[in-house]
Amino acid sequence: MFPDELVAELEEIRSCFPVAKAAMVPVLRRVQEDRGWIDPEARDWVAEFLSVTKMEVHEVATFYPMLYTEPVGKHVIHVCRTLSCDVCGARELWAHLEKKLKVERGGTTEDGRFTLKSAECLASCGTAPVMLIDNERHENLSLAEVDKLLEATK
Amino acid sequence: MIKLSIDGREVEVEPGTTVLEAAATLGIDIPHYCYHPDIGVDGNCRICLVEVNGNTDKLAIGCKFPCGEGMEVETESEAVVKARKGVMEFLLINHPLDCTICDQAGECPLQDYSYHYGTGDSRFAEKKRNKPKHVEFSEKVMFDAERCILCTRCTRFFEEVRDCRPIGVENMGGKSTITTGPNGPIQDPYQMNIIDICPVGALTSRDFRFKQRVWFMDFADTVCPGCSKGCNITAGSYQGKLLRFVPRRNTEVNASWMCDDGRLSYDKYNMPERVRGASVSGDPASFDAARAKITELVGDGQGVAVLASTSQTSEELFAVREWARTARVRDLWHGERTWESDDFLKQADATPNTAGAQALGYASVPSQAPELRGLIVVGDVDVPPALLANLDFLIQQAPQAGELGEAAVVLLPGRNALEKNGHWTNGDGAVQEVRAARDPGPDVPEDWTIWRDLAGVSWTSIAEITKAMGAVSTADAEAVTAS
Amino acid sequence: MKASTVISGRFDTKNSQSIETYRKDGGYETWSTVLDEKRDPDSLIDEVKASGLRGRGGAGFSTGMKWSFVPKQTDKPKYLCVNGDESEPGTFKDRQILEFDPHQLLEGVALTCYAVQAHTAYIYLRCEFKLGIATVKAAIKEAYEAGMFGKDIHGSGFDLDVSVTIGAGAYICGEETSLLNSIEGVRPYPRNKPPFPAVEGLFGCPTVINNVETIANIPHIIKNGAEWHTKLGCPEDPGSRLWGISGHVAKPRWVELETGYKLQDLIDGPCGGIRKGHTLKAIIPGGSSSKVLLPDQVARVTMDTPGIRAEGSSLGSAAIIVLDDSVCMVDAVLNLMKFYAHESCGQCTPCREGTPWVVQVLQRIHSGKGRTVDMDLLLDIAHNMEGRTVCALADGACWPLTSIVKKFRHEFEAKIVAAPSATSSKVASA
Ligand SMILES: Cc1cc2nc3c(=O)[nH]c(=O)nc-3n(C[C@H](O)[C@H](O)[C@H](O)COP(=O)(O)O)c2cc1C
Ligand code: SF4
Ligand code: SF4
Ligand code: SF4
Ligand code: FES
Repeated sequence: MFPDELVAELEEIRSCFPVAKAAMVPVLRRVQEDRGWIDPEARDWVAEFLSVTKMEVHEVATFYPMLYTEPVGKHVIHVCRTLSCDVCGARELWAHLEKKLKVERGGTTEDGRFTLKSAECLASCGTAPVMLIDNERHENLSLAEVDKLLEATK
Repeated sequence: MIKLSIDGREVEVEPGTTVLEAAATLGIDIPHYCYHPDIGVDGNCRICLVEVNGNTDKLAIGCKFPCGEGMEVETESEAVVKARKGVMEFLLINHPLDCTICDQAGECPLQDYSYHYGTGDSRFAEKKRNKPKHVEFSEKVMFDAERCILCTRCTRFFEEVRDCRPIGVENMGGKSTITTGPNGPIQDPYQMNIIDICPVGALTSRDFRFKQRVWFMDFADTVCPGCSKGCNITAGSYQGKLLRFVPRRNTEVNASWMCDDGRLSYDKYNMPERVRGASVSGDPASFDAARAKITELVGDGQGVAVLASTSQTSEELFAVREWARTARVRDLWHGERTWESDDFLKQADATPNTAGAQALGYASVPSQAPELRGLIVVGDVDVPPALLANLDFLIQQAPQAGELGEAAVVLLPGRNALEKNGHWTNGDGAVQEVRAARDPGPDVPEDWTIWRDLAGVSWTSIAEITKAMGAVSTADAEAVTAS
Repeated sequence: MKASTVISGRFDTKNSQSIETYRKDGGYETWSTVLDEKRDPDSLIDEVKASGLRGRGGAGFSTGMKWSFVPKQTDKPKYLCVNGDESEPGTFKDRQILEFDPHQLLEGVALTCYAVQAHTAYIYLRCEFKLGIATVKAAIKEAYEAGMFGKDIHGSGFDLDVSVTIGAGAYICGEETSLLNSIEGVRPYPRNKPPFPAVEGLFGCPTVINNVETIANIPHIIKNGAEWHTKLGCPEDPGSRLWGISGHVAKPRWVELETGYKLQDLIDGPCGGIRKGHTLKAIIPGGSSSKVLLPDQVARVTMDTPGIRAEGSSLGSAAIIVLDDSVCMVDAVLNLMKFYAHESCGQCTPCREGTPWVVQVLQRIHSGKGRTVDMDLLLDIAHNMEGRTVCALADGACWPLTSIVKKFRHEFEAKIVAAPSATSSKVASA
């Protein structure tokens, strides 16, 4: 199901722990990077890879906000909504993005290009407002910069 | 040993004992939802909070907190009662409170505690959370996520008792839900136990759903007749009709569990079609006439054998044996019935009292059965066809006549496994009391009275037999059959 | 106010993250010396104990004391888990260490493992730290190559394996026992204590869990000695910390200062004061889970454990959130309570049910449907959560909530009086 290099990488992650199950979150994240989300097929593959039941993978995968058990757009945008950002421009940023992308929080644009997710504090409070595009951090954002970033994210 | 005080009362316990367990030895009942003695501790519901050494800022959970030397525990202090009310309120604000249509009503600790501690959801002016209400977990179990208090007893039952993961918790925080997730319907043959241990009405039996409100029902504490495990059960009925079996806790036998097959077997004991009164050669007859016929047929007892069901109680079998002794019938055999066993409770012997029968001298039917003139069939038993080959006569005493009935010269009624009193001895040698859970209706006397009257003994109650039986050892029994 | 460069000294250096830069400053010499001199592991614990170092993750527990709870005689392996989940709102200090100077953290990891005789360390980083993760991983590789980690290090017979593992966006995983479950690959529910992780932690084995910044302090303390550390800042809570200031100051930033400074000086000095045209309304001084301070408190408080306690709050993760007069406090607390409701793991009843309830009540007040009973209701809900849950997340929600409701009651009342549906019926206490 996965290319050999990826499997080798996952095996290396697994080898860091005395029990395979402990590789759960890093393996799921890595698999998600490859496939966009943790689809049922990937979930079942991981269960076998870590010698656990599908339910154990499901329980963990559905817990974490940064593991997606539903399909997402080609690019995932996370905008911080927590207090420091909220009082330093995040509201304007939110309004701008929702209008520009014509989606609500959690939604995916019609063309499937972006999913707009809300994030809790991203540890960039001193450089608010902040957002992640495909887990890449962008700080001190002006609306003009946001437009540029979106433009550059094909 | 560790000495501590609970509500001002001294108690001594083994190291490692929890506060909840220690309190129980004093008869103090600390409320609990997530803790279950046969699954163990998790500590998530927080209803069992207690005050330790006067610390009211941080309360300890009784179900997990270990007893310590000199500790002072309060289980009803102001802080504890307030916290408990608080937890109750938290549990109730998003709870549908549809007790009027809930199967758990009357058996629901949530309903009980809210009755005791009040408040309910009256301060909650918001919209309750919506979650799926009619989820089929399997053909046997329904799930209502709105009623669920997320105590995880159900998931831990499978994990810890059954070593499998058919259900789990998905999502996070207030959105957490029990789910079958990536799995299909639950397959486990013990799955219905989660219905009993669910402290609320979130898991319900599709079989029992909406059948009857529990407060209208009658209950008898008895033993499952399904196999030689003898799981302790409470049989519930309404107007003489059995509606359900649920396990009754016995740490020596079945803990809090029973198999689904045993649980769902209740209906066959309702027996609308059955033998009532005596008959001779197919015609209704008086018991006296039937007895006379039996005496005549059995004669000197030569060439006559008894084949008794191992669902009969030991008292009933004892009464039969007493008659056999007077009638000089030597061969006392017991029937056999098997099904597939498993690695948990279910035993291959699908009858409850083989050990009891054997202790009373009943033997398996010999592979080379002697030539028989007559056979006396007692109870619900499968008769090996070979035994029937050259019979002059067949006498049957049983709840249902079955195929044999036509051939029986004398047919007498009998009580089925849920209509009996007495004792069964399970496969591990535990002697367990059996209590009638339903009345068979007219013309079905208790089995032991039939054989008492035939034997001409003067017992007036089953307790008398139990006592008499205690006085007769297995050695005596052998002596009887050998004579 | 005393600026300091203990932790951040190299942050501005070119290639600050590389092992060469670190070694040029004498990096890993302490670790090498400890191994070569075969120092008694207990002497390291004593040194850290004597230094007065308190954990930088939030709870502020004595680090040396925590280490001393790890059993000496045990057949089980021992573990060190470094907490780099950094998710407490307002906090962005550990990230600086991870991105700019990972080797002082790694040397701290080595020394800590040696002190408690652990041979495996996991550095747990939130997955959003893409750069931090890459930087630390590269540093680990360098440290192995330089013979600082691995088998029989320096021929001392001491083995040490260090690796990075990650979270996936859940604040709760910063709670130390949740972190353990997260690493173990099960749902990251916090565990009931006792047992404490020092005795029964990762995979059921003795485990030390410390914050990134805490561990980054260790090489400095072992190198310079406990006494040196006790002289930094406030004697009862000594040390040099990374403080993160966010919100309505002219210059939001992190800054390294010794403890014991005046908060007002920090705001007015390095942070350039409150943003132009506004005045200070409130400061949440120790990450969102601390009690709010009013301007008069800000004016007098010293930033160390005794000083902040005197004002009824806590230093937490040294994350200072500054709110000016443009902020509606109902709005602010609603924002924070949404955070806690979202991040509640859902394991235990009071927090799972209480945090969303608080949000619902606040939302109602905010939307003009508040009742006069709602303030007392909020306080009572908090009362029923605080100290009744498995972990301190619920406590962390209660502290900003109750302090804001109490200190800014008038703002709530103003919203409620304006609301047509306000009633005056008294709410019974549950
Ligand atoms: C809800 C919650 C979240 C926490 N998040 C973090 C965190 O992100 N980083 C951290 O170092 N400690 C966090 N802590 C504190 C840890 O539980 C623990 O006390 C700390 O990692 C211990 O390290 P220290 O003694 O070095 O501070 C959190 C605690 C709670 C209750
Ligand atoms: S379904 Fe019942 S047993 Fe299972 S978690 Fe919910 S309340 Fe507990
Ligand atoms: S295991 Fe046997 S005794 Fe127990 S419930 Fe099943 S059939 Fe009945
Ligand atoms: S207090 Fe909240 S976060 Fe902590 S265990 Fe309970 S539900 Fe989870
Ligand atoms: S019974 Fe103790 S927390 Fe649930």
